[in-house]
Amino acid sequence: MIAIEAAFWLSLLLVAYVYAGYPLLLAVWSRWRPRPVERGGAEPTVSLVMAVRNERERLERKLENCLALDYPPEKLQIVVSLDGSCDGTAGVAARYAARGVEVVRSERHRGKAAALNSGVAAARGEIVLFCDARQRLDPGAVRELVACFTDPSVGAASGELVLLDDSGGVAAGGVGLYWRYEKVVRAMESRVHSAVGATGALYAIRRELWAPLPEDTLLDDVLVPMRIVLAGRRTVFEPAARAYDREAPPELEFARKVRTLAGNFQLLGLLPGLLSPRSNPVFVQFVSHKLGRLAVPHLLIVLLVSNLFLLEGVYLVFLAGQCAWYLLASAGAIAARGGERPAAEAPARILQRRQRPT
Amino acid sequence: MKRLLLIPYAVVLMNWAAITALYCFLRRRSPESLWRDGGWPTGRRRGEVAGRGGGARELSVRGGA
Repeated sequence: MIAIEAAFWLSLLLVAYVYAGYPLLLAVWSRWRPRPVERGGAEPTVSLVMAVRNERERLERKLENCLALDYPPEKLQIVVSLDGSCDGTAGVAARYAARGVEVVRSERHRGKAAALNSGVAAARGEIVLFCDARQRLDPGAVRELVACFTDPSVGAASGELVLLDDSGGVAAGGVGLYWRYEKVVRAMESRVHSAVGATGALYAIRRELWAPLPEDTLLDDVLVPMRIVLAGRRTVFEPAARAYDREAPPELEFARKVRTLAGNFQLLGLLPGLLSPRSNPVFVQFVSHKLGRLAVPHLLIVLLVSNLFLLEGVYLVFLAGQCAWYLLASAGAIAARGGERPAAEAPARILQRRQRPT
Repeated sequence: MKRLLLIPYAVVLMNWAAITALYCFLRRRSPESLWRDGGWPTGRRRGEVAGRGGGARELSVRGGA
C-alpha cells in the first residue's frame, strides 16, 4: 500500500510541477535573473523562406501579405520552395516571379524539411525568416523579429502565433487558452535564456547558423532553434512579431499535436546533447517543458489507477476531483460537436478520420 | 460555459495526443499514417508503414532512442 501511495503522490507532484510548479519557477527565475534582449533598428538583409506543397488557395493571399510587409523591399528576398506541388500552386508562385518572388521547385514530394533545405540554399540574406503559407503575418513582424538580432547572443528569434476565433477576436477557450498558457511559458523561458523551440508560423535565424535538416525531420521549428541553443546562442521569443491563424477545432489540433509530440521524441534521437546538463544550457527548461509534457499523460494514468486503490480519507476527495475532471472533459467533447454524438465515441472518431491533417 | 468545458476537453485531448505520439515513436510510424490508412490500431508489423506508395514516410529516429 505504501508503494501505491508513493506512486500517487509522486505522480501528483510531477503533474503539478509540469503545469504549475515550472511556470512558477520561471516566474521567479525570470525576475531574479532576467537576460533582456538588446534590440536595435538595424535593417539587415532578410530572406523569407516558405516551404509550400499544395496551397493554391492560400498562396496568393500569403504572397500579397509578404509583399506588403513593412521592410525595405530591396532588403527582403522572398523564396517559395515548392515541394512536389500538384494542384496549381506552382502556377500561382510563378505569377509572382515578376514581383521579385523567387521560386525553388522540387518535382517530387520530399517533405517540408527537404523543401526548407532547398529554400535556404537559395537564400542570400543575413537573416533567414521561416513562415508557413497558412498564417497571415502582421506588417511589422519582420522588423520586430529582426530587431532582436542586434543582440549578438541571439541566434534565433520566434514570433508569436495569435489564434483567432470565428469572430476575429483572440481565441479564449479550449485550445486557444492552452496556446496562451504555452506562450506565457515561452516568454518567461526567453527572459531566462531561451525558449525551448519556436513558432513554425514565424521564426528567424542567422543564416550562418543554419545547417541542413535531415529530410525526415518532423519539427524544424524545434530542431533548428535547439541546435542554435546547443551551439551557445539564444533563441528568444518576441511577442511583438505576430502571425495570425484561426483556432482549429480540437480534433484538428489533436492531429497537429500528435505530430508535434512525435517530433519531440524524434528530437531526442537527433540531438542527444539536449539530455545532458553539460551541453544543454536550457536543460532544466527542456526537461520541465518538453519531457514533462510527454510524461504527464502516463503520470495521469498512474494517478487515476493508484487512486482507485486508495479509497479512504483525502484520497476520496482526489478521486472525486479526477472523476469530475474527466466528466467535464466528456461534456466539453459533446459541446465541441454541438452534442450530436456521445463523447465516448470521440477518441475512436478522431483516430479514424481519413483525411490528412493540415 | 461552453468555452470553460472545452478547457478540460482540450487538456485531455492533448494528453491523449502524447500517448498517440509515443505509439508512433515506438512503432516507427509517421503521425500522418494514422490518418491516411483510416484505421486504429492496424495490427501492422513493426516497421511497416501505412500508406506506403502514397507518400507516407516512416518516423525515422536517428541516434537510437
